[in-house]
Amino acid sequence: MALDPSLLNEIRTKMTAWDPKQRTAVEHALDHRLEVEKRAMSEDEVASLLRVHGDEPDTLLELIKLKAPEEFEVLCRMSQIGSQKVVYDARWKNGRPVVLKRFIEESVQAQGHLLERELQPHPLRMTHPHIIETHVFRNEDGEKFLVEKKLPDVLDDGWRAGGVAEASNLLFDIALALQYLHGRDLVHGDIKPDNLGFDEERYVLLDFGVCRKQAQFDAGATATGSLRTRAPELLIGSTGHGFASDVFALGAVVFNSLVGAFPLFNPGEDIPRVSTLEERREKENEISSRAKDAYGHYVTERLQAHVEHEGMRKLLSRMLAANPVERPTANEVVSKAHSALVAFIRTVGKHESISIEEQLSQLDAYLPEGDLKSVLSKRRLMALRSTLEGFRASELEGEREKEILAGLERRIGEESA
Amino acid sequence: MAVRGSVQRVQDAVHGLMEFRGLEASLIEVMSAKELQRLRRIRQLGLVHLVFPSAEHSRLVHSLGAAHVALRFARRLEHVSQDFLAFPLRPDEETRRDLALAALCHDLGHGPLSHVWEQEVVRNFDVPAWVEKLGLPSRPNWGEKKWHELVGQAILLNPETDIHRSLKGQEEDLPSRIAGMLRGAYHLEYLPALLSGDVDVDRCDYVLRDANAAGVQYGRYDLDWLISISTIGSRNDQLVVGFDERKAPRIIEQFLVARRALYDTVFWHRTARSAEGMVGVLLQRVGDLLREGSWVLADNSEFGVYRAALSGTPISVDQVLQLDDYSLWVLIMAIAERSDDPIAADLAKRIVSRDLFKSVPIEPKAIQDFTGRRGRAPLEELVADCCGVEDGAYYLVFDQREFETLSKDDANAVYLVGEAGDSPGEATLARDHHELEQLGAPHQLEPALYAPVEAIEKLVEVLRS
Repeated sequence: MALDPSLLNEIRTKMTAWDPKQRTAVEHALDHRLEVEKRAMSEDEVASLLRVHGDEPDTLLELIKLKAPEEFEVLCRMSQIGSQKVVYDARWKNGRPVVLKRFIEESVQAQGHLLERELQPHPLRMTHPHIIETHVFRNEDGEKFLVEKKLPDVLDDGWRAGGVAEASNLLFDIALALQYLHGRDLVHGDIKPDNLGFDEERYVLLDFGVCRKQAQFDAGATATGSLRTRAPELLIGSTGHGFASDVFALGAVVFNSLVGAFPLFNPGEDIPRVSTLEERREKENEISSRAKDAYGHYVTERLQAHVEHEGMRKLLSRMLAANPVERPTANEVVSKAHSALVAFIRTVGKHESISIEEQLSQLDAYLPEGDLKSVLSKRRLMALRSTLEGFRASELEGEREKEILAGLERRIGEESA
Repeated sequence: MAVRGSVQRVQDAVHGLMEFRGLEASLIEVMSAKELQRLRRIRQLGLVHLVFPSAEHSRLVHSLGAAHVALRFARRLEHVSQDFLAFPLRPDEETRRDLALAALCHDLGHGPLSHVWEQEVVRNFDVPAWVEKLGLPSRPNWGEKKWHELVGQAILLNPETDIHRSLKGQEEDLPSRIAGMLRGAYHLEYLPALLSGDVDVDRCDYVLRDANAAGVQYGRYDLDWLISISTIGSRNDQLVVGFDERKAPRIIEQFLVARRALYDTVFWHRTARSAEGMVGVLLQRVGDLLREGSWVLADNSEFGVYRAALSGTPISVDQVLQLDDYSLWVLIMAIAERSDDPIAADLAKRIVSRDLFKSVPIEPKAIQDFTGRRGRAPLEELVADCCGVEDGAYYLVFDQREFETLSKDDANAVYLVGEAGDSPGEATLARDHHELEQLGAPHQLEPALYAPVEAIEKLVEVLRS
């Protein structure tokens, strides 16, 4: 399908500033896509790519060539996370904004491995109110993409709660997500403001690229996650990442939202995100020595000075305890927040997720009888398949539940390529 | 590739600003299908505008309103069920869209003047013959369907219609899914009840819209509150849509009473019933002539589709789509001006000039007693004599109605739902609730008789004799 001639002209005008080789490559890619592959581009899509990447021929070339799942239009490239993942701002063709993640491992198998890791925490995909809604889509070549709901707001280091009320909501909502993950033996491993979003009056945990089973984080492994929210035991290297370090990281985010600095950092202190190995080591050593020698000054005193609400102060103090053994579990954080901060929390009474057993029982009772493939839309079938995969991954114990699950799996049949 | 806008907005006299977001916005695209646009040419209230002049709104605006209400219910159910239902059993964006599309299409098959057509022209239609002519598959069993429901299904399922193509453009199996939903078949089995029941999106819209258009104060109820207490419950191992039992009885009562009041005062206003009855007897006359081998106009080439339909012959989807209020009025005008048949011409003239039959001012029991003893023939002879026409049967309209406020059929039932825990709350029948059970009794409306004004006096005398 051809594009509007004025848009094509606009592209060509932009191209005049480029190197001729780049221009030829982009023109060729565009023609190939539109005329040979017959993969259309909407005017919105082209306009967005031009606006964002008009001066980046290489990126434009990548995006023209990109075979996204047919249900989506890619609007721009957002970032590359490490060497494994590229993130795109995209739109479901129903108009809904999403984030599309592509895994750039060479083999489909390796891509699948990375994707499975991201999917680990979604045994009840799309059902937990504080975990990002996630789907898996394939493009025409069978390559899998992770599709996340695009949240209107994602926090950053400069985000401030503006008081104990909002901080309580952040703490409680994400503690619920952690309670859910930890209950499934999963450690998030990278809690930081950039991985927390806000949508429809609730905070949501994002990005499960590091998330894995507790046993898979061994003490000898390089510490993962952000230095800003890294727990003392990881800085010192006394133990590997665990549930307690997730709790610390959440405490650190809430601390930052109230105090204006992360627990072991000074206000406005430059925090290296991507730097040379030497710089990073130097910074790690510096923070590590603060954790050993000046913990009281950095954490306890500042909590005392900046957090007036006693319930919040006590809870944060425990979550940020230097010794991981002294920290509360996610369950305890939820429970403490519920009792000490309930007056501030919006989602009290609305947070309960439904047990897998109850969900299976409901699906067994209330889905139409017979072959579900013939009554469910493609999208619904995919969502159900995704939910059942999650149940399967959560290692059911009851015989009845296993039976129901197997029955449902039979009724939805094999996934088509 | 056309990209749908993220939000479509429509201003509405009843619901105010109606917003359709994401997938929902496709409704506006679908609305341009010519089969839906035909509904602009069919009045929602038939001939009620002859009594309430502002009640001229179309079936299309009602259908869009019903779709909007459907979305509001679906959004509410999606929200409320997230605490007690497994994700695959909850409404989502796609389900909302499906429900709204089904609501938008629920009146697709209506004929001219809707209920007059259904009652007078295709009252005892030959189901298998129509199924075949409309190109419908032999299954499911269509036996229980009303004529307009059958036609609506045919329009949705016919690959040549605009609306079929428009839906298919969104998803391959969307036409059959929407048609299925209108027949009560959907993977969320509780949802189609919102399209057809004692409290459904059709009624929720038309009660407000028709009252508003007629300009009456009857028919008002609190839609916002009704939606806000809707939920999903469980009854006999099935999920059902219902209303919070602690809050529902008053609003359900208000809604049901509002609807009944509208029937009593607007839909079944005697003058409107008389006018509809007159169009009915005119169409009967035309049909009788056709069955005798003659046509009401001199030119046999005119109004071919009406000739086929009024003679009782099934017609195709394409032909059905030529029928609407406008074309029927053109036929009535043509009969009034040019017909050689004195009865048809006289009836048509009376309709066009709003010289309507009057209600015979006599107690209903007298009509029942007389016709029970002597039948209708003496009355028909009397009217023929008074009006100077050959056959008085076309000059009498007998009107007998029954109204059910709360249905006895569980498929249409209203449910009250108890508090949900980890699973849906228990649903009970609203008609069994002590505050609503009195609304469950069928309501017999008094029979009425309409006749030309010149025969009224003598009819009263005879009926009292």
